[in-house]
Amino acid sequence: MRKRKSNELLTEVELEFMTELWKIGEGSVRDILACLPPERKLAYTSCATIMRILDEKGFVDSRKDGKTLIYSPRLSKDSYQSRSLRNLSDKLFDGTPASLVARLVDDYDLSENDLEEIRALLDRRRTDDAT
Amino acid sequence: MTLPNQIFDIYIDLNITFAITAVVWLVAKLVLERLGIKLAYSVQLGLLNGLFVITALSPGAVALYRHLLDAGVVPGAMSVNLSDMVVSQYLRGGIALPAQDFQSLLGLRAQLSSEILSLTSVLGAGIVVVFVGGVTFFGLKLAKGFIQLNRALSSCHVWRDHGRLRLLLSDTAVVPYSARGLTRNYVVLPSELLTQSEDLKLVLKHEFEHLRQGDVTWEIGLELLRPLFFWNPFFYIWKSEVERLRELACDQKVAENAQVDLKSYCMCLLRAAKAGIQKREAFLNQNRSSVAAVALIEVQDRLLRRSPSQKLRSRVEALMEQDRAKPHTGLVAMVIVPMAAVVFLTGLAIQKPADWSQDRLMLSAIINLERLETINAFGKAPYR
Repeated sequence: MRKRKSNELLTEVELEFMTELWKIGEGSVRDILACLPPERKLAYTSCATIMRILDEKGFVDSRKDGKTLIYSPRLSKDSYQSRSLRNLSDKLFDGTPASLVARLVDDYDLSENDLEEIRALLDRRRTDDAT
Repeated sequence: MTLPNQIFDIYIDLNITFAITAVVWLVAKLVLERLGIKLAYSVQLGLLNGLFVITALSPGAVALYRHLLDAGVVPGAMSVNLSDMVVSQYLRGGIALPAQDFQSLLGLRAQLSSEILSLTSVLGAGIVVVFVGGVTFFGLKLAKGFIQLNRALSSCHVWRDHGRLRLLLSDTAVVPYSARGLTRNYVVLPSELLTQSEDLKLVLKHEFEHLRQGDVTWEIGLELLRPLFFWNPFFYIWKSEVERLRELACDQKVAENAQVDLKSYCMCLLRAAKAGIQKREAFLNQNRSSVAAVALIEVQDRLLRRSPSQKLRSRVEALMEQDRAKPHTGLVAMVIVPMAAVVFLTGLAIQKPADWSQDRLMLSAIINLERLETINAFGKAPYR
């Protein structure tokens, strides 16, 4: 199969599929289809096409197991989260992550625990940088 | 007559014939509407495309007819010339103008043509600059559109191949559309449509109908002509009419299919419009060009055109209409014959007269007499 240069971001449907694949680690089209909510009513061929596109884009690897293709993620969920946030920061916040965080803190209904966690994270980062 | 003169004359004749054809079409539409005759949209589209072909072929037909006239195969009495008719009307007193002014009016086209081709006047040079600028601008825009379309097609994922038809999936396509290359037809679908199986079937039916009707080929043909006819308002009227009718004809054909539920199809169009508008915001700077491609639905606002929402509303309303007439092909041919005759006669009538007719000689004599009278009157003592 012709592999393409990895696209920057996943489309909404691809993200839905990747999320299931990240959960199960690896699986065939039928395995992924089984993980999706029943109300999605997706045709097997449509799912197979979406997985083939993900393979072409370089987001998953595929190997043959008998007649079935088994897919596994090439990119971890954390790596994709970083990529996605970097993209958001570059495109929407003029490349200033601080603005992104400020917007998040302002608009998101963060609990005291959440804020404490963020503070601890920042303190840890500062300590790491100092050493 | 030199070759540039001949080409320029054919070009001007084509523009005039095109304008007359557009008027003939609009009048025919009005008459049908007044008579309460509702023709099927596919029949209307066929008539419109037929008229276009007749217009494009009219210079050749006129040249052939004139050749036959010169060879004496067709009797001279069967020649039609607008300027001869106007001169005859003038001599009968039907036009109240001084002879010299009338002559200048008759020679206006020849004078303008000469000024444009020889670049001797500011007006002629100005027209040439605007024309060359316009042709260059629209030519470059067309080339850019083709390059963008080519890039958009190559960035898609191949879904399926059926002979000369290739189905493609795109992450960035705002709406589904059809396009074509030299040998292959393409239907491009936004990849998220894969998850909406009912809409997918309806959209494919619609796009296949576009390909069957040859709409993509017509679109490419009209776009290729745009740089040449950019200044002719009738070109835009024509194009907008073609765009309107091809969508309505496609919708009608899909709706005629017994397996298609009308409500589901209307809802599919609405969902496509909604998804397209959402995506339009996300990909504001991409896929702006729609050159040489025929989309399921319009979501981009265009200058001096009805808004996409108005167009969608008309399409849904047209789908609700029932019993549009589909006359027999012979009857349609009978309608197109008088229209074709008007187009051909227009093409023939606007030609330069072959030689000096009796009426023209008479007009020239009147002008000379008027000039002599002016000269004789000059310096003569006024009567007391």
